[in-house]
Amino acid sequence: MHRNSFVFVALMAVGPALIGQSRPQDEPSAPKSSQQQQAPAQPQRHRRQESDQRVPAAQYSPLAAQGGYTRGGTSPLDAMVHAFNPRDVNLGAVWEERRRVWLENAGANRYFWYSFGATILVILSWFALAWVQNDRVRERWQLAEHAADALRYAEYCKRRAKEAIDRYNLHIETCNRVIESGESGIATPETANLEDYKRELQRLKSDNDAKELQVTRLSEQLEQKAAELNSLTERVTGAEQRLKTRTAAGSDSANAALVERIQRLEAENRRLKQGKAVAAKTATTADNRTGAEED
Amino acid sequence: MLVAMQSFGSIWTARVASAGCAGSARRSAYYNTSGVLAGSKLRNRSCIYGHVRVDECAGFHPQFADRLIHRVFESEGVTVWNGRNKLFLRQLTPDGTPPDVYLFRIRPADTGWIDRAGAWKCDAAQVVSFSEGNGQQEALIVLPPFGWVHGTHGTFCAEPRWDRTWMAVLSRAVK
Repeated sequence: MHRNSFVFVALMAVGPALIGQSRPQDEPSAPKSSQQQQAPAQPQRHRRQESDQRVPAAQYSPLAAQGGYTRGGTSPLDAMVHAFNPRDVNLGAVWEERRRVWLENAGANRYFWYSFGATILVILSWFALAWVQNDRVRERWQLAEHAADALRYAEYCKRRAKEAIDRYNLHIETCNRVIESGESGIATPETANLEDYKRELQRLKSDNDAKELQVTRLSEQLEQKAAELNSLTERVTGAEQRLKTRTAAGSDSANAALVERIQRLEAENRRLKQGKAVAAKTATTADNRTGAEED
Repeated sequence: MLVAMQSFGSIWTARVASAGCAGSARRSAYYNTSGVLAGSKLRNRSCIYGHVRVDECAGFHPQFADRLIHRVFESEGVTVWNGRNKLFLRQLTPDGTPPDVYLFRIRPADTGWIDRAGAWKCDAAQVVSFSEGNGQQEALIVLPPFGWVHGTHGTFCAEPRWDRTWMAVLSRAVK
């Protein structure tokens, strides 16, 4: 098996050269091929001889003389083979003969083996070149990836460096503005904190002033109301005193008459209440007496 | 919120009721805002734009606007409408109603030049409108009792009269 495959590969590799070489060698064998080409005529002769041997049946039957009902014994397989090979060429014999001729020529020809080796080397060199090319391509892709990584990292480093430089510049600018504002007194956005403090201080100061004004006004109102309250209290006190003095000075007789009248009215009221109570008692005793008599 | 009107701004505009409206369903509305003189005309020159609106149905008449000075209105306070401050004086309250805040018009003649970048008003104050230009200023501002405004002349407080609380004056808080 291994040997056949080896021969097949070699045949495919050196096919063109072999065809070129085999032409001159085919010429001496031409008579052989003519013999091979005459081979299909042999079965017909053989069939004719067989029909001659079956003479007894053909002598009295034309149908038998023509081969009978079987028409020479042709099977469907034979018919199909005959359709593909109408001249009935013995391909196996031709192949075997060619193979034998080729082996005889190739095995004995050193130039064939040299060409075969050179061809193998060429084919192997193709594989080697393909492998080297593939390796180069892979290395190139790896190099491109590394280069892309390096470029990205370089860009990242540049960006970070720019940010750091910007921060540094901003810090330096802030420092410069602070120094300039300290020298000139002009407020800048960088010294806004100081302005904020000043604004807050001004706001608190104004708040304080407003509260003080409010307290002052409320105190004044309180004092005014207290003064009004004091004057009102004094007026009430004075009125009470005046009333007392008037009462003490000129209204004693009127009070005595009123007291006497009140006492008289109270005594009369008490007497009337006692009279009502006596009348009620007498009425109840009279009712009790009449009830006892009826019993 | 009850707003006591102490003074009006310089610019008046009116939205007159359309004649097509039936009867008194739609009344005129009058808008007051601050302004400064530019040449011979009053211009808005607004740093803070807003207006005070008072309707005709609230008893306002443009020929007798002064009658509403020291009167107290019911209002929703200063609101922002379409990016503009608005103070809508809804209706008058009975006489003697103590107000919550006072509406003042402030000019440099009252308080001096106002530096708006600094602390020029108290936190409780609400600015309706502020006009500045041609070396002039005018502001409509709502101040609570004893709310303050700071100018170059000093700090001025809205000091209500204790016996007539609907009247207030800007008093300088002298320390």
